[in-house]
Amino acid sequence: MNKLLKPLEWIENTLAVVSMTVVSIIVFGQVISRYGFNYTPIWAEELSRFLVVWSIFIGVAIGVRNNQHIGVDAVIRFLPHRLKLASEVLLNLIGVVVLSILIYTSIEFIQHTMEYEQLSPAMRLPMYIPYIAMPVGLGLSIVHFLHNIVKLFVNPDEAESALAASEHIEEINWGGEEK
Amino acid sequence: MSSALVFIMLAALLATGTPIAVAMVATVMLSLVFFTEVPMLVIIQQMFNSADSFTLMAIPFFVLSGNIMTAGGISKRLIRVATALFGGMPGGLAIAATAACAFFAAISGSSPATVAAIGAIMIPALMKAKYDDAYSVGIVTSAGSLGIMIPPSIPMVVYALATGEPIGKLFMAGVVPGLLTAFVFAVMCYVAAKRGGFGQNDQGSKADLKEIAASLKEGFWGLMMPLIVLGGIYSGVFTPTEAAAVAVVYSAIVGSFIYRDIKLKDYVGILTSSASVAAMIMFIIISASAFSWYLTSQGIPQEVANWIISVAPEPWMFLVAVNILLLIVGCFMEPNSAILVLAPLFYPIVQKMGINPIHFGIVMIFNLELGMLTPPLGLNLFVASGMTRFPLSRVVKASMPFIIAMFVLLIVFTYIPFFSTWLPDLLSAAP
Repeated sequence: MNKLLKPLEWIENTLAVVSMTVVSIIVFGQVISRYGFNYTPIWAEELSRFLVVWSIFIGVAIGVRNNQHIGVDAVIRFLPHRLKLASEVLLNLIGVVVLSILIYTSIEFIQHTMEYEQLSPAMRLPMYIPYIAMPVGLGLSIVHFLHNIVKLFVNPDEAESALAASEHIEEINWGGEEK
Repeated sequence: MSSALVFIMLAALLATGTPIAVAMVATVMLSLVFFTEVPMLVIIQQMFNSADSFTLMAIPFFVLSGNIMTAGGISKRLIRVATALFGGMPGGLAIAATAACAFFAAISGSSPATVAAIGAIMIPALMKAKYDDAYSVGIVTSAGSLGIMIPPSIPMVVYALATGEPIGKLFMAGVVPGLLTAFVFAVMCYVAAKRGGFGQNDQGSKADLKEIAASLKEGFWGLMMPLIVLGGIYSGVFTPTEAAAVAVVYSAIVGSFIYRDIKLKDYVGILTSSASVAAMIMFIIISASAFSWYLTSQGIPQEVANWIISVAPEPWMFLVAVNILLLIVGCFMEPNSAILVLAPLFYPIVQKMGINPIHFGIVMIFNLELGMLTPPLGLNLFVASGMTRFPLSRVVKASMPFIIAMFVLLIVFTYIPFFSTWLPDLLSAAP
């Protein structure tokens, strides 16, 4: 199970690191080039927006993987262990269903834009390139939602720690080491 | 009727512990199917359009620059400056902790991050200086609130995105209330020490001018960052998003080449964790945009506005209701999500009643920040309790005097708009 997920994890982390780095450099470079060379490349803003779209949907998957998404646990916190476990399974299932519908709809949406050969205004890139981030990122999220459910059955005691993890929305990276 | 059902559905989904973003999308899906003929495609369009925004990008940049600064050893240098400046007064170390939180708040946009960054060093230092354990935890937990009051502030960016108000003005509006809160906390520490409480001996460790100069020299690069970011936005040199990107590059240069606390390989961890924290906030934002699109398309905000205006016709009545509602909501939801759900509902009322929307944003943020200090969902409390292994109830009790002070300040800031409007007005009046 974990062997199957490792490569996915690697892909997610790499995409997140690369897109965050490139976006920071582009937007910073845009400021420098505007004041230093009196020139603003027209592609810069569009490219950075598209990269952020990718980083959002990939980041969503990483968030599901780490059980970090912010929810209201005021109610389930006080449930007895078994019911808490059941609601943990339920919320992961809700995630799977909702994201599946979103993916289905987004693929329909992408097919439309491919039919009309829609291009982006500045770079003349096909619009499906940013759009495709949605089914890809949400698809990865579904894998992690399912994995979370499996983990709950394999190790029911983890329900507690999963809840605890969701409380620390701002994870501080002390030494910069990955958790 | 259908408008009440929408909120009941959302509340029911949230009660199961479903992530807020997923719950909002699910509510829109169910509402579209039950109450309209509109195809689901519109959800995708709304979500993509709000994700594809240059303003939104400020959020990942501010998260990233804050994390780089934390890893880059900036917090310990800011603490040295604060201790050199204030350490010599009665209760000086506690005052220094407050000041360090205020400094850190000016480079970070989040409260739990401020508690974690300053608390990790300051709480042990306070305990070592014979401060009461609970008091040490209480002051840092509460002063961590400054994280979102003093700009840059992620909830302010979120409010700006939800209402269309300018980010720069909101940032400026937060300065005076933030600094005033820090000042009130500092006075409380001073009084506690004078009354024979803690920190009597702090006077003995009075820092000399040489230490002040040395600490300022070391902390200079960290202290420059708010000037570059806020100064840059205000002078019109760059947009808030560009300012945030400049902050990222600046903090990376300071952390890697000047302080040399970050190695190249550390960036992988910093970037991944920043990407996921930022994506969590942005996922809520884009889901909320689909949600608020649905509300608007059904005329629900107008409906709610008319109803509220009929029961609370005066602005002060509306503000009392908002204060109470947000105190309750703040106990269950973190500030960003609460702003995204509620700001679109309040905004038309605020405009109709002639309340300054910038001032209202500061009220919302301050109000919700109190929720970060109260159970059951007080993130500052969890961070402090997780760090110190203190039971939650003791942290709450320790923070009580400061929570009461913040409550009083909330009332002052809500009903006297001057504190939040003075600085933005002054700056926009200047040429």
